[in-house]
Amino acid sequence: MKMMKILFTGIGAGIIMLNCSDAPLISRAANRVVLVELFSTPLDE
Amino acid sequence: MVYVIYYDPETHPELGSLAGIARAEWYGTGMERPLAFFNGTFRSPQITLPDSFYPVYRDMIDAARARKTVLEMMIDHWAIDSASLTIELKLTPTDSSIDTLTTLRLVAIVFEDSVPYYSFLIGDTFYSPMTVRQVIGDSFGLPFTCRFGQDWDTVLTTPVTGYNINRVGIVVSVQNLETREVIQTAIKWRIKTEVKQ
Repeated sequence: MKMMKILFTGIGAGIIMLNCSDAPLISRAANRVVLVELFSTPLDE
Repeated sequence: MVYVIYYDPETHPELGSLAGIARAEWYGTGMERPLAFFNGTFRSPQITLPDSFYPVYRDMIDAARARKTVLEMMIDHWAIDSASLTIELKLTPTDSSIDTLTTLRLVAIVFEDSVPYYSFLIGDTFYSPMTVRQVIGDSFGLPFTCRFGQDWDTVLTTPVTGYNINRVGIVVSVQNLETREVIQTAIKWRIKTEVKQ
């Protein structure tokens, strides 16, 4: 029940609106920005 | 390259987040700390010799950067006040292979770039960098699909009550939930003070 509440709170908090428009059909490779997700403990531990 | 940190909240609840707990379980981190994931798929090795830390991570970052992708993304506009933050995203698929990806998520990670906390162990104040506060939607973002030949304009907004808005930034990634691969990422380090383009 608690997880459901958290889930719906999160969904309610985030509002997403999507619109699309035409873009050229020219295939190409894009440069990638690297995301590093670090799981850690506080510095004093 | 951008990085964010999820902290275990056992001893310092002020640094933890629901997203950190959920994503650690999803990645299968177990008890290993610190542990990093590069673009969702490359798991950092455990470093036992401090001097070997830099070259190992440098090589992993270089390898991740060298890989091309099928999507461009930029944050067009951004705003924050004491109640909420809002960003506008523009996504441009650059290859038709993206049409086949049906489990894409927009993972918008809200962070504070410096969070003070008091250590009773050391008896002093520390500052935690790039600390994750929440992921918009749920811990795995918001589902969406896009097609080659169509630009996508997206607006994301969320409450930020309780954060130091002078230090709030946002990292937005497109992640394939099925493979965990992060396809593309964009960042605004400090939403309030970053100059609009």
